[in-house]
Parts: sequence; C-alpha cells; structure tokens
Amino acid sequence: MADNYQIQSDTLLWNKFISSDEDAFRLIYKSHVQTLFKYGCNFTHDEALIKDCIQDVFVDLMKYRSTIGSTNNIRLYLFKSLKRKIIRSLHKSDIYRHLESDNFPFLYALSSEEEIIEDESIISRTRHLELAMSTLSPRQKEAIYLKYVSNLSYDEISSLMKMNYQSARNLIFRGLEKLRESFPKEIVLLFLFGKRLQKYF
Amino acid sequence: MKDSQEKPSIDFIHQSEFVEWVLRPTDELNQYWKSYMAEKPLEIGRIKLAKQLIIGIVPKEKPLNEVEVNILWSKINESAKSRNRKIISIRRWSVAASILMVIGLSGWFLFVHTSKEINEINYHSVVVKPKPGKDIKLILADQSEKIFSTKEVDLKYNEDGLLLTNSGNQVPNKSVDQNQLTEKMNQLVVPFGKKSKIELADGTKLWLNSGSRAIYPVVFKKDKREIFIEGEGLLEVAHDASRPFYVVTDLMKIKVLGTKFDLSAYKEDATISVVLVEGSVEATSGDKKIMLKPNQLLSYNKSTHESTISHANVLEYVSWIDGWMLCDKEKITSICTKLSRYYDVRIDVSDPKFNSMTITGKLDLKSNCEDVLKVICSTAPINYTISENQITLIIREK
Repeated sequence: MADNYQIQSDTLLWNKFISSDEDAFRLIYKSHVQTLFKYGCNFTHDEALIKDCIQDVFVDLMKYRSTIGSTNNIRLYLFKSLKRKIIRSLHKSDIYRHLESDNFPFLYALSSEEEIIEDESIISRTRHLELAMSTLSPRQKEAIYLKYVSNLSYDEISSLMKMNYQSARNLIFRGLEKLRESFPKEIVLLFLFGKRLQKYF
Repeated sequence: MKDSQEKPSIDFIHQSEFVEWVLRPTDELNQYWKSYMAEKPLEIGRIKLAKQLIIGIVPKEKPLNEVEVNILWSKINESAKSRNRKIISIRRWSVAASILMVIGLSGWFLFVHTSKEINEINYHSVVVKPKPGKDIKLILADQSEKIFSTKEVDLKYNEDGLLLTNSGNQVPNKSVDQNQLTEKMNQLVVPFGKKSKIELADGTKLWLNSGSRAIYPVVFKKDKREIFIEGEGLLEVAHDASRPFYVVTDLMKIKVLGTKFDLSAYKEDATISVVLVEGSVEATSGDKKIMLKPNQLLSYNKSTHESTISHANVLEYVSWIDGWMLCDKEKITSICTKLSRYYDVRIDVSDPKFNSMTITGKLDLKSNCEDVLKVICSTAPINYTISENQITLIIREK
C-alpha cells in the first residue's frame, strides 16, 4: 500500500534517479521488474514481447531522465508505461487490430498444470474459480488482479485503468461476489457446518 | 484506511484487513484475527471459506529467472547508451553489469590425454559412457536409465538428493544413506536438438544445451562442490563460501569465485573458451592459472596449449537459453556448426568462400531449422538445398 513512508522513499529514489544516480536506477529496475513482467504476462503469452516492452520502459526512463517529471509513486508510473507499450505493440498484430484497448483480453491464468495437487477438493475449488473467472469481463479481471496480486490501492487502480475511485471499487466488489457465488453449495456447506469434515481443508 | 468503514456484515473478502492477513500476514494481523475467531466462533467457517477464495484467486505466476533479469538489465543499459537503439542492440552486446559467466569449452579429441593432475575424479571411469540416442537420458547411480521423449527436461534435486522432474514425478535415488549419496553420481545426457535444465542439490542451476552432458553428485560433499560438463551449459552457482564450486572439463578446471557462468565444451572444436560476465572465476589448465574479469573471453588452444584473453560480447553466449542466437559478425561456418547441434542436422558449408562471410543479427531458434536458414539466406547471398540427410549451403552468384 502506498503509505507515507513509501511515498517519501519513492520521491527520494526518483529524485536521485533524475540527478543521474545509477544505483537508484538499478534499484528501481530490480525492485519492479518481476511485478512488471507478471503483470505483462496477463496481456499476452509472448514473453519476448513483454521483455522488449519492459526494456523500452526503462530505456525511455534513461532517455528522458532530464525532462521527466517527478513522481511519488514509481510502481504506478511503471505499470502505466508498460501497459501503454504492450497495448501499442499488440495493436499492431492482426488479432488485436480491431479491438478497443479496453476490450483486450486479460489472461489471468489461475492454475498451472505442472503443479502437484494431492487434495481433490482443492482441484475442484480451483476449477470452479477458474470457470467463474472466465465469466468476468477483462476489466473486472484486471482490477481484481491489480488489487489482490499486484497489491495496488483503489486510487492506483482507478488511475491506471482510467476510471474513478468508486467505479474501481464497484468493479472489484461485483467481480469478487461473482467468484464467491461460484463456490459449489456442498463446499460452502462443508465449511459452514461440517466441523467434523473440516480437517480435510 | 477507507475500507475500515465497511460494516462487518459484508463478506470478509471485501475487507482489506482480512485480505492483508491472508496474503501478507503479520504478527499483529494474526493476533487480531485469532482473537476475532475466539470471540466469534460461529464465523470460523465463513472465514475459512473467504480465505480459500482469496488464496484461490492468486495465480501461480512464473517469474523471470535471475539470468533473464540480468540479460534484460544489460540490454537496457546498452540501448540507453546508444542513440540508434535498433542497430546497437543487435550489434554490440557488451554487457554492463550482469552476474554471468560464460565458458565455452570445446574439443573432445583430447579425451585420450585427460590429465590426471587436473581431474582428481576420473569422470570417464566413474560413470558409463552414454550410448548415442535421440532422447534426453538420465543415468542414475545404479546405472539404470530414465528416458525423456520431450524436447526439454526440467530436473530438480532437493537437499536430500530427491529428484523431481518437470512432470512432477519423483525419481528415487536408491540409497537413503547420506554418506553414500555424496558419492553417487548422476549423469544427464542431452542429445542434439534438445536442451535441459537441472537444479542441483545446493540450489545451483544448470542449463544444458544441445549435444551436452553433465555428471554431478546427487548430494554435494561438505567441503567442496564439483561437477563435470561436456558440451555447453549455463550455470548459476548458488553462493556458499564454505564449499567452493568447481566445474571440470577435459583439460580445464574452473573454480567459481563469483556466482554465475555458462560453459560449453564440445568434443569436435579445437579451442576451449571461457567468458565471464560478472563475478570472478579462475581457470586452470595444466599448471597455468588464469583469473578472468567480466566481459573477458579466454580461449585455450588444445593443440598448442596457448591461452589468449580478449574482449567478449557476453549475450552472444547466453542467449541460447531463451531460444535465440545472437551473432555479431559471426562466421557463417560457425553459425552452421551451432545450428547443426541445435537442430541435429548436417549442414554442409564446405565452399571456401564461406570462410570470409559473416552475419550480424538475431536468429530465433524457436522456429524450425528451415525458417532459420531462410532468414540467413535473405540477408546474405546464399541459397540452400535440402537432400535426404543434409543441408547444403551454396553461394548465390550475382
């Protein structure tokens, strides 16, 4: 969460970077490259494209370092910049050419097949969630992802997704409700009443 | 916080304190929710359910590995330095600050005089020499073999020497006795056209390129870590000051003082080469010791036993793990040697005119061999023909 400390340290770090501090630049890269990459993976499976876009984001930072404005939220700045670049390059491809950028699919892949899951009930829950997830709109998925996976605040989400604060909250609220309803009744009942069965969870 | 105004009747999943506790628990939050549940035992079911949902929506994401992070960082620095990004990013990949070391070792014909004073363990006698095959093969200490028909294999040994494959299967190494495990050697053989990744018991990662093999203990000794490689491999050595890491090849032994490096030792090449990206390594051949600095390439000529050090473009040596081949004024003949290994095909470039022809650019090894050849032919005056068992390159006359 973007608390005061974070804001302060981000402003400091950013100013250091602007005044040509290479260590500051390296620190910015190191602390954000993984979250950026993971966020990017939701727009395309083409990892090379994501890497190229991340490269462009940071090269631009270096290039425009002397004219760049100040920011107290580096992560948000980078997320915005990466999203813009990915969408711009996806727009060039045939599949995405006719899509509005708001309708771009948001992949949000829940389960990985390689994983070993011993517990049958976990499998069925994951499947239900996966299924429910696929009924959400791309924007709903993106907002939930940003909130729960990237740990962005509602303010940050509304700024990144170009909507107002309340819409961002509603989007996430409704999305989560939909997911919650996807839990099959028997699992819910088990949780609520099946004291004896609880050890299986 | 804005969320704290929410009424408790709203489900837990919408409460930020709850979500924080599930995803990023602190002592304070643990304390809070523990006492909450003690106060309201009837809510426990709902809490557990909400917890499952929140945990469930966090996807299993695959982060970039450390090598990828470093390569990307190098590219950023390189591009940022130049005005003309596009050209430079292909042409000059000298690396600013990456923690990689690349070792290219080549040549097998010296197998016969593997010097005993370098290799304390004679790896050729410890393990069986693999029969040639088309599949990736894991030879266990009891000499039983496990065959993988996939194009790539991902192996992981845990601290106790237990092996996990990419399919999640466990392969037991038969002895449970710790003392015996340190002496047990496993061997992974990767034929041409395939590649593999192994995570060793100490956490060291090893990517093996086409036509390579590695011999390594299931569990390392307490005072020293040592593995044998033939062919090409990229290594990310886990830091452990109390146990130095050695990579042994025929005619050379490399002591790793830094963290990561790539090694390539093909039998048919005439030179052994070592490239360091960052950190520090010490290469020993015969009684000569050479310390390498980042971005340096050490070439050891196997017939004259002479070593030379020159500047190297590190990304050219590590890009194969991502399925790329970077060429910087690289000879067509050398590119074809690599392609023939990677795709397991024979490529004839015997026309002497090829010796002076070089290519600069990036080849995508994820596409098939013919597509790669088409790219080469579109940039250079070359045609190719495919016959039954080999590809022949011909100079296109103007």
